[in-house]
This record gives sequence, structure tokens and C-alpha cells, in this order.
Amino acid sequence: MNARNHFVRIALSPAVAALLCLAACQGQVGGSGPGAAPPGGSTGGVGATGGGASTAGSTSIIGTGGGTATVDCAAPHAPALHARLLTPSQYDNTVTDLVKVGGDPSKDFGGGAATQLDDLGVELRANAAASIAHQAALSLSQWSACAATDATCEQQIIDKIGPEAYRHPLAAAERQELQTLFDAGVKEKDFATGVEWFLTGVLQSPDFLYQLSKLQAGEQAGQLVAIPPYELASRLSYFIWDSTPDDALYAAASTNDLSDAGKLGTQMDRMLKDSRFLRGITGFYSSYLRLGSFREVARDDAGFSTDIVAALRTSLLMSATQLYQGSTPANVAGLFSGSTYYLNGALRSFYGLAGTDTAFTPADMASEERHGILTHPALMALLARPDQSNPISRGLFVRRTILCQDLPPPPTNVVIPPLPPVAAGLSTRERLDQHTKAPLCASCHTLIDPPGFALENFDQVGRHRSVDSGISTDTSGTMTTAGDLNGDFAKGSDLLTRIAQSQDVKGCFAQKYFEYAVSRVAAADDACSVDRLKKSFVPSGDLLALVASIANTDSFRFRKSEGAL
Amino acid sequence: MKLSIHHPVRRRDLIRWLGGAAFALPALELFGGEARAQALTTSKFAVFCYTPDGVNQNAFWPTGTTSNYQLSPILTPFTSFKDKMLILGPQMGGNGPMSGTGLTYCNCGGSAGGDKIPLQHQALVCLTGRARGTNGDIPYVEPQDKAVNKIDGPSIDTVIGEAVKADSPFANLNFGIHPIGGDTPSDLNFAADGTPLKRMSTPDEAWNRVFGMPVMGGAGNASDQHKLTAVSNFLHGRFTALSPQLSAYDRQLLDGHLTALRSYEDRKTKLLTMQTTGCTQPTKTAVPTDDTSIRTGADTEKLAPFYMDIISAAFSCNISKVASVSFGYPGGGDAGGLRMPWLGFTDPMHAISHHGADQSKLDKYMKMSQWIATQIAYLMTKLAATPDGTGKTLLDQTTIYWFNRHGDGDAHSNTNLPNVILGGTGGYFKMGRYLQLPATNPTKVLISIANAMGVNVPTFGKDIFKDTAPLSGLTA
Repeated sequence: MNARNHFVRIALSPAVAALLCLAACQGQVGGSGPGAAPPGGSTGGVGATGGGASTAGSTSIIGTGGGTATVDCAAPHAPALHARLLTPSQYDNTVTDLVKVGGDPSKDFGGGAATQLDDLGVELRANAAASIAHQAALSLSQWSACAATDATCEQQIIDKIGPEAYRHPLAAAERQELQTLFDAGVKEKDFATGVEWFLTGVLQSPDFLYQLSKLQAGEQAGQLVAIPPYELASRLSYFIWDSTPDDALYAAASTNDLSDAGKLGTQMDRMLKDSRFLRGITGFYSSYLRLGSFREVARDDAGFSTDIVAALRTSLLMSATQLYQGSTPANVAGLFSGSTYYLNGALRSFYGLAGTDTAFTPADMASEERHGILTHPALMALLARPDQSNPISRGLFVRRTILCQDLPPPPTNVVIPPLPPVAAGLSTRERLDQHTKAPLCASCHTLIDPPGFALENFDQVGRHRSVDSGISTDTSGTMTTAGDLNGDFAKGSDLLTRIAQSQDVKGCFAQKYFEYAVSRVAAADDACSVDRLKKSFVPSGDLLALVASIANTDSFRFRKSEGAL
Repeated sequence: MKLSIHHPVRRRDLIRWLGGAAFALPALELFGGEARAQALTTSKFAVFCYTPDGVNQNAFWPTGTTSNYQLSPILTPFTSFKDKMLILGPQMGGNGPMSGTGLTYCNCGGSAGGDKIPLQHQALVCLTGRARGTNGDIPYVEPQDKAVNKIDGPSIDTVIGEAVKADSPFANLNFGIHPIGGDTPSDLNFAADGTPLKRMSTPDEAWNRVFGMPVMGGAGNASDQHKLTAVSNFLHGRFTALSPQLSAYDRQLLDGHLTALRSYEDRKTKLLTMQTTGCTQPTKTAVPTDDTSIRTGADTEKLAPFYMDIISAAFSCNISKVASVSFGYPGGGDAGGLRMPWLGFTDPMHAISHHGADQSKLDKYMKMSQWIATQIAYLMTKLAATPDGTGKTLLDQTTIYWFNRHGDGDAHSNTNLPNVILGGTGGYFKMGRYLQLPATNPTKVLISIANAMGVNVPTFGKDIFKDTAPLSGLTA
């Protein structure tokens, strides 16, 4: 366990601090004053809902409504832990690991970990289960140690897949249910049918589809409960591998090694070196950079083909994942700086660089004022309209994703003037200025748009430009925020340089990674964990250490009981 | 021939089971009283077709009088159905439609450009007569199409669908055409409790949902039912076993899952039963849905008629009596709206709808709406070719509502909505007319359509969109 910082003032910055200055934007447009909580978003949950104990050395938490409360970080804190549905990538990876059926059977699932399944969601999973089971029954030897069609092999399959799918050892009753289902299929037709029915059921069972926290005997509401070994093993593996635990992790769970800091460290080291870690970081960066629907990005450029879109996604993810493969320890500074991207021949051709290699190899775009992932052509293309750049979505991305700040949507009672059409002699920035100059609009857009304007040197396909619609691009602006990014910038590159060095950006990154790991927006009871993470991460920027630190937080290892029945 | 079905046998079904086109009427007599009695009970059907982004107002409205009118370019595809159209038009002035007349959500705004958005682009108002929140508090989750967009009431298709469902497996079927996404909450269909209903958006998803998963039950043999039962028993056992081990929050989550599972199982059982009784599925046509076709919009050309085929088959097989089709999504999403490369241009509809009075854009705008009209006309043709067993056709019994969120997309206007009722409507509406209405709450039309479907809806909608009466003057 980390040494506890008893006398810490939690700033929850920059998110909450920034909200104070964003309050003007909310108050003005919402008409309901700065007390209006931001609807959703990354800061919505980090509020002053708990605490109240006000002792020396306690921590102040500034609530989203502007109020404050205190939490004593000397004692461990963690919020309640609710069931989490396997995400589509977790589902696919788990199926691959369990029965070696690949592809993306979850491709139509949609939704996130907190989704309440409706009957369509249930149906999609039923169909996927049936399809996977059918394939797996035809390829028994790929994943089963036995291939004989007898009762012994049936036992072996149940005893292997059952615990792996439920992610804990089977109770006798659980085992019997599985056997009844398997037997029914065998009786219906043959052994393969038994395998198919068994898997069809297992893959739809709530034990498989959710990460569940089961009540522990005698737990009381409000009490902090240590997450038990098998549940913690799942939590670790879905965080770090985006998939189910392996035998070694289960073995560690079975001997309660995961509650021992040293032995947990050994497991963590092993997991971070395992090739499955690539899935985990891919999962995080896909979520962080919102690449879920990237394949549908269409831009008005003849060369912006499906191949380019697919390659861009790969290239953007490689910008992140390659950091972890290098000889030097992966550092967050590398994410937001540097002008070298991994491009294949198609991308090189599209972006006017030499080389025709089909592999993704490093290419330097230094002459284009590139600054790491933020200016990666893929992200610039994602944050754009079909025929133009989109400073609003880019600005919101910087505020929300890079700085963990939130801004309200436009009020519904406002008349939104149409955006002037794209035309020569009028730059995107000028068009937008016309669009948002009304005071009601401007109160928020003076906050949103400047970081977007800083990226105006990149068009809707992520190409560098210095002229937009015949007008020289203007990337200057003023960043208004309570933090180290506050101030004027003469050109976008200046702001981007500051982002790469910003402590606020690093702190937000740690919070985003944490939120991915715990699969929820940080709540009040996460404040101590988040603060401690930021304090350890900001000075070093060490990405592997961040993952290990997250797994060591109270929020990751404990939950607050909501009481038994 | 096996007729151990659970839903009431209707003449139309019998015709299908007996081989369709032959209409072996004498054979029907073999089945005696039940079939004859059922044959007298006809079902009614409703289809809601949504287009975002308004229309080219200059190319939409007919010329002429209420009963003697000439169709506009956009409505030309309905030429052979002129007697099955009820055009809910605005009053016309010297320069075209008079703002603030016809179907109008709100003639508010009043700034220089005319009527503006009262409540953002909330597509959800179209079928619900409600907007999200009372103070404009759309819950904002980026991206917005993923927003938790629950409201406090159902959409009219759900109200109607649940009322007329009887033994159909589905109360309503919702189809969406690419691109998915959209930069504002884009939900149209809502369950009874206000939960948004997802749209089926790929051919496989639609096919599997409506006609059953091939692996699971395409052959419709007894084993599929046995498998469903065995797996169902197993799963219900798991939910029962887990329930006492969970927190109240998680138990509620899993209870919701179990409810959904029951609903799925019930529907699946009905579908399997239908398959074993031989209801004819349409042939599954190939729809290109590779990434390229999705991004260029090329899939749309095949996807739209594919959905129409499914709707026609679903009606004729008693799978559902209500359906919705969204032709693109508000704001258009990352792809910028529907694209129709086969028309000779690739501009997305949302961009085109912001025409700025540019004639070349207005022409494209017109062509895109016109193509959507061809798809609705195609559905009408299919339904017209399917007898309902009472001497009429499915089209005679169907009410189609083609509706839009905006009048003119460029101004985001909420007046002069280009909405049309199509079909035979079971004889309920007096069709073949072009109405020129004063300012009219569109919610009245929803009530009228419910009434046409035999569903009494005394009041519908909320706040400024609420209404308590159907639109007068529509009925036959």
C-alpha cells in the first residue's frame, strides 16, 4: 500500500477549478446560475456528495456546484462498485481466449459497460453466442484438451470452460446446471450439439456477460469491502489485458496472492510484459481517443478512401502503443510531442511523403507543426466536418478529453444561426466567428473555440495547411482556464507546446486512465485515489508506473458496500 | 401441413401457408369455421418514414386545388398512388408556402432568418410530441447520438404497436439507414417508459432480428425450439441463483436483463413457431455493407428497398403491424448525412440541406428527397401486390406517414413541414387530397393516425406540443 498523504489538499484540478471559471458560461446560458451541475461528462461525478468530517489534514473537495466538502484521505475511500457489462472488445478478446473463435462477434453490440440491456441487446448477444458456439463446436481440438465424445471429455470441458467463463471456481450447483445443459444437447443429437448448447448458454449467462461484485457475508452499508481475489483478478485482467484472466492469475487468486503488495507487483510485472498488454493499451486509447466509430468517418476528399481511414486508425493507435515498445520507458510527454508518426505507403502518398512500404514505419512530419497525437492526421480528420475543419469539436476535445473539463451543450431556447456556407474568401474561423458572435453563444464559445483555432493548420483530412479558403490561417488565441494553460498564444504551436509540458494535462490523463480502469466517471469517493495518482504520475509521466499505480489505488481494490438485502 | 400455431389463424396466413399465389380458396374451406371467422377480422398496419434536414420547399408542394392537383417533382414517384395520398400542406402565398402555416411545431424565433429552432434539433419530438427536458436540459454525452436520451413518454408507434400487436412477436420494428451518428440526439422511437428504442441499422441485424438467426433457427426445426428451451431454463436458473448475491443496484440491472430476456424468448418462440408453420420469408438479397459502401452511402441504395421488403414480409407474416424507417439521422454524423452516389453526386444530405439558395444545391436537395419518395413508393407497390385475404391488399390496410423535423433545412425551420399520409389507411382517411392547412400542431396527426389504426388516444404529447384531438377534416 502506498504511503498515505494525510495532509493533502485535493484540488481535483484542473477539472473542478476550471469549472469555476466555466460557471459564467453555464450560468449565462442556462439561466439557472452556476449552481447548475454540468450534465454528465468527466467532472460531473467528482462532486462534494460525501465527506463532511472537517478535521485538520482533511481534504477539501470543491463540488461541481461550487460548494466544498472535505474528505479525509487518511482513511481509504472507494465508491460502490456496480456490475459492468463486458465491452465489445472485452467480449471479443474473452471469446478468443476461451474458445479460440476470432473475428468481432460483438460488432453490433454497441453500448458501454453500464448499459442496461434491452431485448435487442439480449438478442444480439444470443445470436453471437449461438454463432460462436457453433464455430467452437466444429473446432473442438483448437481449445479443448480432449476430443473424445464421451462423458469424461464432457467433464473436462465443463471444468475448464465453466470457471473460465464465470471467472471463479464453480460451485457444485453451478457445475450441475452446466452439465444439465450439456447433457440436453447430447441427448438431442450428439456430443457436438452438447458442446454447442453448453457454450450457447454459458456465453449468455450473466456470470459471463458482467463483471459482478457479489455481496459478502455480513457486509454493512457504508462499509469498505476489499474486492475478493477472483473478482480482483478479473478486474486486473480486464483493465490490463482487456480480456479474461489467465491460469497464472487465477492461481495467484486461489492463494490470495493478490492482496500481498509484493506478489501483486510480481503479477503486474508479468502482465505488463505479456503480449496481451497491447490489447489493454489499445482498449484504453480507443476509448480515450473515441475511435469507436472511426471507420465511418467520411470526408470530402477523393483520396480519403476506406484504406486510408483504416490505416489512419491503425497509425493513431500506433502513435500511442509504440511508446510502450521503445527502449526508453513510455512517458506521457511522448504522447503530446514529437512529429514522427507511423505511416504506411498509402498514408505517405495521401499526405505527400516519400515511401511506398506497405508496413507502418516512422515518418517525420516535422515541417508541419505536429505535436504528437493531438495533431495526428487521424484525430484531426475525426474532429472535422465532411468539408471543413471543426474548431468546435476540436476545442471541446481539448477541454473535455485533454483537460477533463466539461462544458454544457447549447441551451435549447437559443436560436442557433446557420453556419455560413464554405466559400472562398471566408475562412472556417471567420465563418465560426459569425456563427457564435451572439453574446449568448459567445459566453461558452470564447472558452471552447480557441483551442480549436489553435489546430486550424489542419484541414478536414488532417493535412497541414497555412491557407484556408484563400485566407491565411490564424491559429492565435487566448486560453481561459484556471490552470497552467491559461493565457494568450501567438500561434497554435505555442499552445500545443504548452500542452505537452502541462501538469494539468498530465493530471487529467491520469484521471482518464483511472476512469477507464474502474470503468466509471470518477466519483467523490474516488477523489483521494485520483489525487494520489496525479501526485505520483505528474512528476514522472511514467505510463507503465501509472498502470501499476491505478491497480494499487483504494478505488481499484475496494468498494463501498451499499448494504445487503 | 402443420397448423399448431399459437396466434389466431387468419385468412392471409392461410393463403401463404397454402402456397401464396395459387389462392387455393376451395382448400380454405377445409379448415372450417375458424379460418372463416378470422378472415373477417382484418389487421391494420402503419409505417412511419422519417427524413431529417427538411426539403426543397419549392419542389415539394403540388399545384392545383384540394382534389385536383399536380404532383411536384419530389412527389412524382407517387404518381400511381395519387388516390392514396393525403398531403398535409401549408397555405400558399405568392412566393410559395406561407411561413407559420401548415404543420408547424413552433413559429417562434422571429429573428431575421424567419422561423428557427425552438428546441434544438430534437428529432424525438416527431413521434412523441415531446421535447427533452423543460429547460433545454438535454443530457449531454459526447457524442450526442450516444446520449442517454430517455424521456417521459412513448412514441406514437409504440402506443399503436402495443395496442394492435395481438400475437405478433413485435409491437414495432425500427430501421435506420446510414449514416449512424448525428450531432444531436437522434432517437425517434421510444418505449412505453420513454426509453429510446434502437434502430436496426445493418442488413444482418435486421434480417436476424425479424426472421431469426440462421444458426439458431433458420431451418425452423424442432431442435431449435428444444435448444431455446434448454438454454432458457439454464439462463433463468442463473438469474435466480445470482439475484440474492447482488446489491440492490445490480439486482435491478439484472432484473431488467431478465425482463428483456423473457421478451426475447417470447418473440423467438413465436418466430420459430411461424417458421415451422411455413410463413414465407423473402429472399435475402445481397446488400453491400463493407466499409466503403457505408462511408460513401452506396449501401443505402440497396439497404432501403431491403428494409421495405422486410416490412412487407413482416406485415404479411404477422410478425409486426407497425414499422419505422429513418432515412438518415439529424445532423448527419461523421459522414455528414445520407449520401446517394448513384444520383451522380456524393454530397451528404445535411450539407446539401444548407443550400443557401444555391440552385445547384437545391437541385440536389430535390433529387435526394425524390429518391426517398421512390423508396416509399416501392413499399407501397409491394404492399399493393400482397392480398390481405379479404379481397383487399395490404396497402389498403396500411397508413404510411412520411414526416420531417424541418420545413426548410437551411433555416432549420419548424413550419411548413413536408408531411404526407399515404396508403389505403383501412378506409379511415379520405385520400387523394392536397390540404392547405393553417398553423397546425403536428401532434394532431399522430392522434389521427392512432385513430386510423383503431387506437383511441385522447391526449398525446407534452408542453407546447401536446394535443387532445385529431386533425379535423381528415376522415372519410
